[in-house]
Amino acid sequence: MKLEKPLLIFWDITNRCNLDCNFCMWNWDYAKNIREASRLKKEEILNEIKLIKPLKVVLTGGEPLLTQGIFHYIYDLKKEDIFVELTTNGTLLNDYTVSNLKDACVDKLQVSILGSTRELNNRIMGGEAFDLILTGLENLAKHGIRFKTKTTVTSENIDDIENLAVLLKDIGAESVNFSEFIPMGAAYLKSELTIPTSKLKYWKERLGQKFDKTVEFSSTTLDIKELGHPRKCSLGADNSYLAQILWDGNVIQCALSTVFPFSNSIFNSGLKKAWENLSQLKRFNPEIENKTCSACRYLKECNGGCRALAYINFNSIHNPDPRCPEKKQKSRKKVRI
Amino acid sequence: MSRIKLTFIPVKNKEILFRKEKDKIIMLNENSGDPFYLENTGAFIWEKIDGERNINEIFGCIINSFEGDPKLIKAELFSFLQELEENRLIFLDSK
Repeated sequence: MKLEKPLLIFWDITNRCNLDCNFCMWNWDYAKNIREASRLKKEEILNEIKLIKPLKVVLTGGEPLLTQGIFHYIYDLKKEDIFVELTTNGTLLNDYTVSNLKDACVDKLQVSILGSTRELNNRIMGGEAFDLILTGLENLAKHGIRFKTKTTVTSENIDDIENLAVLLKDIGAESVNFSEFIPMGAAYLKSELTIPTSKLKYWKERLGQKFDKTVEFSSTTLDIKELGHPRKCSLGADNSYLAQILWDGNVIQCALSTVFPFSNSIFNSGLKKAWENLSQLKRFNPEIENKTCSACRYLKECNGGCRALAYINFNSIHNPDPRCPEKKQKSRKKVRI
Repeated sequence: MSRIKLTFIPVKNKEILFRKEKDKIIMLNENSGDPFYLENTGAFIWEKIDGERNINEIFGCIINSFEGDPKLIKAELFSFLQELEENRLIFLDSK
């Protein structure tokens, strides 16, 4: 069935943030130059979303709670019968804010936390966040707002994830998600963050044994190892069911695709047209033809894997995904990130 | 032979967000983000799934609203419900 509109919209309402996580994927030149659209422009984006009326909107950033009028945006979306989730670093969830979120009828929050101890968490987040996050989570529980947590896992906190899962389940997290970091943005070329595969495997199994399905560990490295190849990149696929609106109004398909020169502003043609334009991203996802991939038995299944990671590592969309286990490659060029 | 019985009660998965738009049901798993769409008879059946009606009662609703061979309709209903269950859109309560 042909989709007439996106069902899921991510709105990166700001890229301002009060923290400085050492793996942040937004920490690169595209993101640094633009902070947040004007209030009028944000209202315009809001109206476009209301016109489309997706099933779910995820308000994200940056730190969306730094945005003036955030409660109004949530409430306005809720009036349209849209499921609204807000992702936050959790440091601004004081009683007043949580009370306002409750009044705005937000459906769910996703809160980031990176360690079970003050020292570890604050070192990774680059600020005094730990106590504020814990208080914030308690406030959410007190006000009866549904929340889940997200922990980006690097070599720094992998050995802490079991302790963290216990802590978060105890506070009342609906689900606890651990995800291996993506090597881009601030994490680009930081080999010290890389987690040995044996360790990933150990912790995935251990969490699986100790907790129910509400505690999840996702690792691209392990997925690739199991499949034998990276997953096929869906960039530019017809009929994508999602759209991501950046803080400047540009509409993209996934966060990684911001590495490509693709101008697709919501202010030029509206959200529906900008979403339809996403199929033009296909030009960055051609059929791969190179010596490495052409002879590979997995070519049909993966078509070279993630095009954005190939591009930022090799400055070419015709190279294989740098995580490909079939052919270990050396990065030829360090690109702008 | 299907393990599904006429006395089973289909229950919608609470994680599924859905809305009827024109004659279609658009759906999205709140957690995984997986999208689904139903049209025509599929949309009709989805609307009859209320956590109270059992499969036999839903079958009755279809018979009253659509023409066709009841045996064939029953087989297609079972197959459709199985598909919904496999995609975790519903659970089948055997109480």
